Amino acid sequence: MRLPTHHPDEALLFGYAGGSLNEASALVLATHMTYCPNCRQVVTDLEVVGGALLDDLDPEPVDDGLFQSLMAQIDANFMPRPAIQASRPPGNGAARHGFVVPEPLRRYVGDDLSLLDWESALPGVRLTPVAMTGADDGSRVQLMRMDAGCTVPRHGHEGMELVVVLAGGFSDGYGAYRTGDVAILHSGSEHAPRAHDDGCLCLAVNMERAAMTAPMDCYLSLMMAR
Amino acid sequence: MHIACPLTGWQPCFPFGTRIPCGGRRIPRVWWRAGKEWLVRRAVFAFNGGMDERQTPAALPAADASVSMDHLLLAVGQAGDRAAFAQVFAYFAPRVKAYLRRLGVDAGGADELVQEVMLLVWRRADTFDPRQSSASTWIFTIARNKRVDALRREARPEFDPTDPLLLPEAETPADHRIESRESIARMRVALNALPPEQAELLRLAYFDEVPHSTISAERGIPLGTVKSRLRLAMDRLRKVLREPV
Repeated sequence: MRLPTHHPDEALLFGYAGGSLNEASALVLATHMTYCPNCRQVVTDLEVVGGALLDDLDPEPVDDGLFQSLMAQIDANFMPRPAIQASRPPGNGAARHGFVVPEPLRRYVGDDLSLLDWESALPGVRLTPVAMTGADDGSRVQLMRMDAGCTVPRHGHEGMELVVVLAGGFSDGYGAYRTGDVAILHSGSEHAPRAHDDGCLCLAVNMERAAMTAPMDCYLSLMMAR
Repeated sequence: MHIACPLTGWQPCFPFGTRIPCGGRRIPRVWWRAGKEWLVRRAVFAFNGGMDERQTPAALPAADASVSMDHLLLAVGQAGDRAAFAQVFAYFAPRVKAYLRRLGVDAGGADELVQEVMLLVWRRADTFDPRQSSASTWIFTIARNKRVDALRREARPEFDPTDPLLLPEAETPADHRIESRESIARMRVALNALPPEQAELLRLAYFDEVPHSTISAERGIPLGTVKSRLRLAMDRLRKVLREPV
């Protein structure tokens, strides 16, 4: 299988390794990393940077009794070391539809995407929201499915948008994105993505709601923002 | 000239100046001196209770301490060694606390979280693999995940190494990577050599909650500059992990 060619930028990679990235963006990165050994390596390296920063911090003395109370806690509720959590094998959905949901996303949406509540936003474009576990930080996470050859009208973005392609692909003025690729649309940029001939399934994260540029598209904009 | 040990009366077989049978040569002065120095060092070593004076914690730079932390953590994982865990705790708990304090946790709450992090270190120590990462890196990832979990109450999405979709590393021989236990010491040197404007941005990614677009707005630095500085820092630091000595 081909390796992704569009990667998250360095700020996102630093944020993921450092832990400052919000859950929605981290989900996009973790999904991309499933397909991208290169970015996995980068994040491993940046975790070494984190280790060095931790080592370099001026130690702050902890409470004297902390170690004793920790050992007491270990003795009191001794439990066998937890086995490493085995990943759940892809279930029936994968067999039925021939599409395996990558693990980081499977925790959020399950393994059968046809069971989700898909809503038609535009002709040929269906959306379903993905709920995050953390508090609402204004970001909107959606799975988007575009039929083959379908185009979303030109629109701009108020905040940053991150898209990771799960199957098929799409093209816009910035490039052609296929499985595993990450598209980054910065605040203020516009695009009109068009799905490839094999359709497109992707995970999209908006930091703010998207705004359609043409007044004609007001209705569509409302639908998208819902 | 015979020198005898004042305590045991032991004498070297060939005192300085003795003609030894082979080749009719004397023991070179440098050999003699080196031998004496070795004996003195051994005596000091024994006097310090078996601990080399160069390795007492005060004389030791912290970077080298983390090298032995790998062994200690391994002992915790393989044998549940409590004495080793006490040393790991003594070194890392104050640093994890400093990390949490930098993230804005108050002193009382920080102690509680330090305890939770160190409990996870104890429980998961058997998954620690020094070939994969050093103790500092491993404990950093545990502390970081705790931060996401406790401070933001979010899950942290991670890829799964056993995912059937996971694309493996390329078969071509990977570029040379230095050993993980060496990596921390080198990385610390590289971090301290980073230009201040890069170092400052980098610390924000690890110790703050601000996304990069907010950084650029808050500090009046264009987004492009933020990104290019981070890119320079990243290239420089990643190179450190691959350079041969």
